[in-house]
Formats: sequence, structure tokens, C-alpha cells
Amino acid sequence: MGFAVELTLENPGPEPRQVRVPKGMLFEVQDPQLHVQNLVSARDYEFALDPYSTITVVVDAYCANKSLAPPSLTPMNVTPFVMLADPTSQQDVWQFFSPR
Amino acid sequence: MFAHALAGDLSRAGLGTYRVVTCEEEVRLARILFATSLTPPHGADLPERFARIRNTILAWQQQSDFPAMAKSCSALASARALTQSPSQASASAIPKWVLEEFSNCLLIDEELLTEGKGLHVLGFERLALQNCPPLLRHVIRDGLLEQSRELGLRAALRSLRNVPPPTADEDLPPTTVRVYCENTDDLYLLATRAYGDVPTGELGLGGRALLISLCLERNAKRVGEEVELPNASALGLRYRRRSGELTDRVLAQEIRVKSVLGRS
Repeated sequence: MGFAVELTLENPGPEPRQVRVPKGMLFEVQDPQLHVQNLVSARDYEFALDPYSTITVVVDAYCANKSLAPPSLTPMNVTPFVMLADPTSQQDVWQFFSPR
Repeated sequence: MFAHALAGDLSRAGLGTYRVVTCEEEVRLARILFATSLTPPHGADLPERFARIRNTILAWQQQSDFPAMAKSCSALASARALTQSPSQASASAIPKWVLEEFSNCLLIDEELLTEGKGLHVLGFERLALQNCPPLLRHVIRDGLLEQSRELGLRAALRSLRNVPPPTADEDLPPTTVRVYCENTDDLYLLATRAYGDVPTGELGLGGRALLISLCLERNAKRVGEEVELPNASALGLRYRRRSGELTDRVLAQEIRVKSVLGRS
């Protein structure tokens, strides 16, 4: 697996929280004009956050844009979008997003 | 010629057309027109001041006065000091009514322009903007063909939805708008409009930059012809907010995204 997302999350409340990151979830490069690859979560993850705690987790990912430059500690955002497919390899993801 | 043109400009609230002959006259014209700033409509912030400078550069180098040979450029100078800090250098810093009124303009700081550093005519179809970065970059489109194209585009983009209503159970249908696009700047602006209903990163939750990026990549070889603006469904994406997933936790403000870094 060549790509990863380093995700730092905070639980600001008094209740413990479980958080799921689903397979196929997209992470975007904040500035699309940088021409850097967006990333896709490669599997399902679940994390537990204690009250008032912060954790940093690493999510294995695929790259979504074959023609762009790879990220290098590039600032990204979480997105509400997931792929309408169940990719099992990097090639699957590139094929999915390539123009049809 | 200038006095006559200025009178015409005043009567039409800054929307005159001018023949530019030299660099000096270009700058002079810019200075004159600052006196004809538009007044915001009712309800807008009155201290705002925006002036439109619109020039038609005729093909004087080819010694032609035929209007069909004219090439237009347009600039909007703002008294907001837009480029004072990087965080302000965004079209979002401009009231919506201004962006609609001046949709085909370069957008520049009035202060920089009045210092005489800003706008210079270099030759036929060429303008230089020195120390005066534009925030919006468009060619002017005020012919009948361009106006009807813009109206058609607005109607088409209204049908392009990417985020379903909160109560919707089903995905939005795949929709693709096809439109002629001149260059990559034009494509970027089109994509920004096409994905205007998608979050931009507040709370660490975005999506718009992703769709723009996929759209730019998909159309990389089509610039200069008809490009495709697919909605999220047509790009193979589903907007998903499921209980317990990160998106849902962030929107409910139960979890904060402190940082997201991509690496390879």
C-alpha cells in the first residue's frame, strides 16, 4: 500500500465516542490547483476516542488521480463522499476514476 | 474622444466601451472611472465601493476599426484591499451581488491600480497586471451569443445537484452538463460553479475541492472544446452520512477534525 492519511481527531465532549471510517471514503487535497492526488480509504476502520481526548491514526489509502502528483504531508479534508464501488487494488481505483 | 466616452459612461453607470490607444491613456482612463463607482443595491453594505473598468481594445496594430475585430477586457476594482492578506484573497470576500453584476471581470485592488502599477496594455489582446494579482479571471462575454450561452449555462447548472436534501433516501441521479470551455482558468471557474452546493472544508469536512479536482483531471485534454461537468453521482461518488461514521460525527460536532495529512 503506497498511500496513507494521517488523521488527527478530537473528542470535545464528556462521552466516549466510536468513529468509523468506511472503505472507499474520499479525502480531498484542500487546494485542487495544487494538482496533487486525492486519497481513498482502503479498508474499514473503527476508532475509540475517550472523553476530551485527541488521537492520531493512520488510514491506508489508494490514490484517486493517476495523473496527479503524489501527496507529501499535504493538507487534506475529510469529505462526505464514498466511492460507488468496492475497490481491491490501486488499479481498481484508477480504472474507476478514469474518464469513460 | 475621452470626454465623449466618459459622458456616455456616466449615463450608463460605468458600462462604457472605449478604444484604448496607449498605455498612458489606459491608466488615465482607469483613474477617471473611479469617480463613477456603482452604488450597491438596497440592503447591501453602503461603504462598499466597486468600479468597473471596461475597455475594448481595437486591432489598431492591424489598422482596423471594424467592431468585429474588437477584443474586450474588463476589470473590477475593489476598495476592499482584497490582496492585503492571503486569507482575504478569495472571491468569497466579495458580496454576491457584486460577483453577479461583474461576472466577467478581472478583480483587482483599487489601491494598487490607482498607484499606476496595475493595468497596462502591452499590445493587441494583451494586458499586464503588475503587482496586482487578479482574483477572478474571465474574458468578457457581452455579445448576444455569449449572453444566451451564459443563460443556458446558468439553467443547466441549476439542475446539477451534488448533495441530496437531508430527508432524501435515494442518491441523486447521475447528471452531466456539457459546455464549451476556452482554457483551464475557465474550466476551474465552471467547476467551482458546478459544485457550489458542496462543503468547502468548514469543520474539516470538504468535498468541493475533490469534485473540482476530478473534473479538472477528466477534462484535461478537452480544454478548448466542449467539456463535461459531471455531478458527484456521475463521477461515481455517493454523498453518505451514516450514524457513527466520521462524516456524521463531524456534522453533529461530536468529533473535531484537527488535521488531515496525505502522504505516499
